[in-house]
Amino acid sequence: MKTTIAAKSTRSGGLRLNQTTVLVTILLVLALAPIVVTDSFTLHSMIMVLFFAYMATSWNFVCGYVGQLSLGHAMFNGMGGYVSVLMFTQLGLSPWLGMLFGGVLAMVTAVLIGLPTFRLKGPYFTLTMIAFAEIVRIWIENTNEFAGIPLKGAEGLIVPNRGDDFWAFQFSTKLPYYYIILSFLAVALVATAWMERSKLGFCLKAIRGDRDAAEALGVNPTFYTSLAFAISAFMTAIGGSFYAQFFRYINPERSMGLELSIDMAVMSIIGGQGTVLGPLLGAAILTPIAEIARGEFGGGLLGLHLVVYGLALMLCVLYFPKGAIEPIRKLCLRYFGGNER
Amino acid sequence: MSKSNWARSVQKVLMAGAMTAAMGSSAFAAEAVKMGCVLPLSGGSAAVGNQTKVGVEIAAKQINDAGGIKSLDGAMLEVVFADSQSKPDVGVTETERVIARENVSVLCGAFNSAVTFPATEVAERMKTPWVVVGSVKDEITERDFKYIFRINNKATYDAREQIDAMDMLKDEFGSGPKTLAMLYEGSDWGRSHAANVKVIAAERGYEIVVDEAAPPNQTDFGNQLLKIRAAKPDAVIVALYTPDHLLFTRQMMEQRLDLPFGVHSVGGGMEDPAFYKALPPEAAFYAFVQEDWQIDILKVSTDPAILSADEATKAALGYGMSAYTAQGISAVYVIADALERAKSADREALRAALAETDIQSGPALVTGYNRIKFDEQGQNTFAHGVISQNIGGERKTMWPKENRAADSTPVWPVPAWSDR
Repeated sequence: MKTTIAAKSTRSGGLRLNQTTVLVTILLVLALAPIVVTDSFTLHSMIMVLFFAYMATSWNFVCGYVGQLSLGHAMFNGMGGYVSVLMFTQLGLSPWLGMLFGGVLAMVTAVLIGLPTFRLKGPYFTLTMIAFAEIVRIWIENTNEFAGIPLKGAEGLIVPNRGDDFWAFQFSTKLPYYYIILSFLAVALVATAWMERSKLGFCLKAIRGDRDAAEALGVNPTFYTSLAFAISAFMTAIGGSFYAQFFRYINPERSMGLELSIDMAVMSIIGGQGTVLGPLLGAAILTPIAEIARGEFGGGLLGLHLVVYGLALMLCVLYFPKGAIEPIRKLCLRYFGGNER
Repeated sequence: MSKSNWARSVQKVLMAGAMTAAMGSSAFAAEAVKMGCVLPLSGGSAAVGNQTKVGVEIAAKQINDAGGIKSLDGAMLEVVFADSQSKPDVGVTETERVIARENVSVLCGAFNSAVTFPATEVAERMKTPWVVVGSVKDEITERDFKYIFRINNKATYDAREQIDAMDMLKDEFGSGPKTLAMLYEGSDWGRSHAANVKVIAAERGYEIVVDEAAPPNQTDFGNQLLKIRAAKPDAVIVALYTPDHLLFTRQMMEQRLDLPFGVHSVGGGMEDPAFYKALPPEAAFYAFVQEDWQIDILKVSTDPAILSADEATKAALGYGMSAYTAQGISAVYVIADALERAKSADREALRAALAETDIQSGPALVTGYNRIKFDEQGQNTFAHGVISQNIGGERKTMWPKENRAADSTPVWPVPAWSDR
């Protein structure tokens, strides 16, 4: 095991320094961007990009590194949203605290799903996640009230307007939301970068590379994968709370639906799964493409913008099978320290 | 020789064309008024969104062909469509874009309550008037918003009208149901409708003997029909989408389940043209359907705009106007009316004019309303659905009484299957 870790760390040694610089640069640029961007629509779009980047990064935390495909992460998003909103409307608890409860609930659920399914090889984890997420969604859609909690079924939950109130997680301008999601993203990226270099990261990559070999070396695949999965679920739930507070409305169809799960996975995969910056890149490519396509073609021929989006996806898969991060990484390696985009 | 003649005539034509164009541009010098329209143009509700889009386009074309907005020197209406994909976040983003980038004066949309609810909040914050099309969620016009106006029903109106129609028929014929069964699909629409019916039925002294939510896309309604048969209700209130509504209706006919005061559907399956193509006509005989517009409006209306809109819908979609097309048409005419009175495309002026809306005639009433006037919350308090009864395969308006055609008489109570 020692030799594997040593070999990996030397191989990524040169890149690592580079990656930190790139990461800090990107975050700095994003933090300063609102000085230039004052237009509310652009800011809104940037918030959406950061939100999806955050969600894809959370997804990538387990799925990218261990090579297990989860198509049910939206369930954790929904849990975070529902718990924080319900605690706010029912108990008057600040969403800042409520989202932590949502995160813990998601974590517990993740462990309960992970422990049995990660013991199995093959597609069982993917199937279980789809099934479980769909069950939760359908249950919520059909439950108006559960143990005195008004879940409101498919109607969705409304977050009452409190005006500008930090503790209520409500702001009249978009700027605070921008910095909140940016800091979430920063934490998620730093956590991923840290994880990549920690024992957890090496174990995950070992499991991805060859599960049997890893197990033979004493790595417990179920334990490490479940641990990463729980952290990933926690992060996703926090993102769900942000979505709920930002739009002040959530419904099971969108917040827990398969489509959101797929979005998270696709952005990671297109950007480059199993890398720190890949999901961010994926979101930064795909969200604007979707938005521009919608703006240009959405009102005209029905569905044309989705075709354009689909074509963009196909091109990415054809030309960057390892993710769009790969060619950029090569460029960076060649002229180290070169600009990241 | 001939060539030069030909060239000369071409020159003439071109000159004439250029002159017309120049004249045209001077006649239409006024800047076009931009209105945004956020609709589900892809995804689950795409069929509905497209029908509304066609309605909006037809109405905008009619207004432009008739010389545009007269008080604005014949300014043309220019509609910017945006696709919400039925997703709240996409709807909000598109609303932001249309307001900030396209700089529209007014918006309409967005059918799905889940989209309209958060998207109208954006419009309110950005002080842009929004005319709600199709969304029934009560809370949309219960937030003390100043820029949001809804022409159509609230969800609670739908439930009240079904009971109103029963009360009306009871008065008219001296008999009516006392016990009701409720069968509804177990998602947003069905559940909220059932909850509303329960409250109003209790107020009016009806007893609910069966309260049954059905998961969507069932393969057999035998169980539910058995429950209804056992409870012997006088009438059943149904809220199901097309596939379930079809199966339920078919099985009910096969089992010859008699209900003395019939089936009262709140639309869904029974307002879908596809429903009637998939069933033998007698399966739906005597059923009452509550719809968001008057199905036989073309028989009672003489408004040329409405009649030509139906033709235009047929040309665009292959079938005539539906409730969704009608709502799109209505929204554009309401906006045009406000523009005429505002004499300006300014958002504030337009908001003020919309708040003063009081339409009592014209194509804006294509949905079968008698009046459009908004209360201080922006809700059109004169909105109502129209309830028709299927007589010999034709849906004839029965409620409200004022909307009935001369030859429409309800059949009440409805005959048993053995007597049909």
